Amino acid sequence: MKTPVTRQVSDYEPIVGKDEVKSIIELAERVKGAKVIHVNATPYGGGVAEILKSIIPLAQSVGLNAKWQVLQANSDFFIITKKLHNALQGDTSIELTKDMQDTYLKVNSLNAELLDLDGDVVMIHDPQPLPLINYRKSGKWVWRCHIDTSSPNEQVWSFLKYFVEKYDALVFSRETYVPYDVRGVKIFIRYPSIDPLSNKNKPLRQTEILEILEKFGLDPDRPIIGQVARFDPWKNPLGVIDVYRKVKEKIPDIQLTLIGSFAHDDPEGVDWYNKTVNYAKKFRDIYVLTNLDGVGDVEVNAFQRSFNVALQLSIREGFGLAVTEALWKGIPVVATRVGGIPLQVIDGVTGFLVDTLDEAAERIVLLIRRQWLARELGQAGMEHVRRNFLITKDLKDYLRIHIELVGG
Amino acid sequence: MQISDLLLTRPSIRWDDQLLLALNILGGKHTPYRVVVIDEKSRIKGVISGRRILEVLLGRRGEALRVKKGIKGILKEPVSLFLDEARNIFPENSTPKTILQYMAENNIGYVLIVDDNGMFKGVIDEISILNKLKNKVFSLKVKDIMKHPLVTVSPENTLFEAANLMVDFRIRRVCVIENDIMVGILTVTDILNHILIKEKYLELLIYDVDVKEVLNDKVENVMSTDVISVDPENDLGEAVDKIVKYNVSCLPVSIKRRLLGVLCRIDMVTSLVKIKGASDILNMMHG
Repeated sequence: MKTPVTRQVSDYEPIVGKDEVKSIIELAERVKGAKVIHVNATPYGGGVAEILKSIIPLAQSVGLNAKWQVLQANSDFFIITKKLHNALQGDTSIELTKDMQDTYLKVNSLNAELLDLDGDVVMIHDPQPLPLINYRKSGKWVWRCHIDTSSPNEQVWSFLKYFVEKYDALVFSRETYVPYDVRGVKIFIRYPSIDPLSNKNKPLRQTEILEILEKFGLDPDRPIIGQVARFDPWKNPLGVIDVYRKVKEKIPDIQLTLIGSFAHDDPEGVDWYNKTVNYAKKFRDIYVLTNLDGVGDVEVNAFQRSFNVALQLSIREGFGLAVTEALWKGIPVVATRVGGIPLQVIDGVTGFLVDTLDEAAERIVLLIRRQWLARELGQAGMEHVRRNFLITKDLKDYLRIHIELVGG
Repeated sequence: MQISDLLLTRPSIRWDDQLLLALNILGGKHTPYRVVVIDEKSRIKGVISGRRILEVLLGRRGEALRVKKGIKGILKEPVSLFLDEARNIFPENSTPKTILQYMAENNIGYVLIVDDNGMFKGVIDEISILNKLKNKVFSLKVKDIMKHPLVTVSPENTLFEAANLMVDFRIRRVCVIENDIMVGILTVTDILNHILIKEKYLELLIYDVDVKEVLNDKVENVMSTDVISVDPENDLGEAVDKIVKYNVSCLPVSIKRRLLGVLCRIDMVTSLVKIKGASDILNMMHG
């Protein structure tokens, strides 16, 4: 992946302060020139691609030779890796057959030939490229697991664990995600982050937001709620529509947007998009939009800024960067109590945590009717993200991992 | 109740201080498990825990630096290289209820409090909360909250083996068992303290330190034998009182010294808030 340096770390000074930028530069000095290769499964769609899009140019701007490599594979492979993903998140119904294992290993073996894996640090993201460790030529290898692996499918985990234990270090998003039987490997706990200057999060003019809403047929004068997430059963898009129906009984002019992108590592995406569209057809004022409709980063940014309330009604969630993005824009979030969401949505402070769809509907109605409350929670959410979840912290975390492994 | 009623002043060190200073603080008896790292303007840069120092000393962290500079060299490196980036930061105008809920929802043992300018004001941790919950009855039994499974060692194990076990299992303490009977408890702090005692003049040593050698002593020579434990049938209130009175981070749960589980401070706070609700717990803290 080509990621030209578009931003310098100094660009973040107005947001995080001069001293924070100085400390990044000081840490980077210790690993200046180090070749750091990140490998993941998709160039767009989902939180990992989002982070890499920002962290690679930033790392380059402080003197690292950072590269982003994307796995080359066909849909058969991604059908298998989506099953692996689901199994790691706890789907016990999945069984990994010998054929599936062979395909998974073969594609990784072919990619070992195609990709540049010769770095001082090789950072492998999520399970798709995990077996590349078998082809290690040099350097220190780190597996960055972005998903909730606190209660994985045992059969699948015992297969993957063989590769996991070959890594020099593992990075998880939460302490509870560390599988109980991983021993003897360095483990880092690191929260993901968002880039406040990316197209998805940068400030937009009100006129830009209005133009985008009108382009997609939404009425900016009526309340809008929405969820930004892949079309995936774990993200519960049909549940979001059920909540919307309940809200519409109380607030008839409400509109719902469901926004997702088709990442090429997610073969279930099309099926779930179709299911969502078919279900949404039964009701008025629902807009199901994707990258194929022309919804890019700036459009997602505009939609999120237009929300009266952002939703994240996931059943399982690694961290939930879409929550971070909404909070950063001063939008209160109503979300389920799963994964990394409670680190971000503090009940009654930055949004509301809910256990049922009825509860979600009640909270949304409350926030739409009491705009002062929505503003207050939104403001608190933005400050919470500023203090805890911006990419400059993530960059420092990565630099420290590099220093520990290869620095001087 | 205000945030200021819960705020604890904890030791902090500068981010350019040497790792050795962190070891000296965290290896002291009755010191907190972690220290906050700040910059010259008192802004929080991160946190470093006893287990992190232990990991570094065991060669389980800071590998590249260890190869280049040895353990002595690493201990002279700035603490900023090893800290955990500051997270769980809250403004001082947060409410105690917010903090309680956040800690319980996320099973997090501490939050860092800053003022409007981002200056470090203090820490709220499990002890801040449990201190305010002394002499209460919760109508919750210890056995309903205690944790399994347990990581244990024998008195014959070496400190090096016990230390590696603590790092592997990401825990701060192990119970010491002999013939199915609990005979002691060993903490990360005990091990760091032992290193400091053995290597009193660590920074003056000409040759590098062999940590395996330093930790070659048997667990039985370093463990605490006066273990404060709690009965599984006890009310949680009795456990809280013991934790506060004896200033320990965790209580073994046992009957006639047969170990059944452990009850840690964070489990107490999390369970109380989840079962009773943050508002009820705050009312009890007032009373």
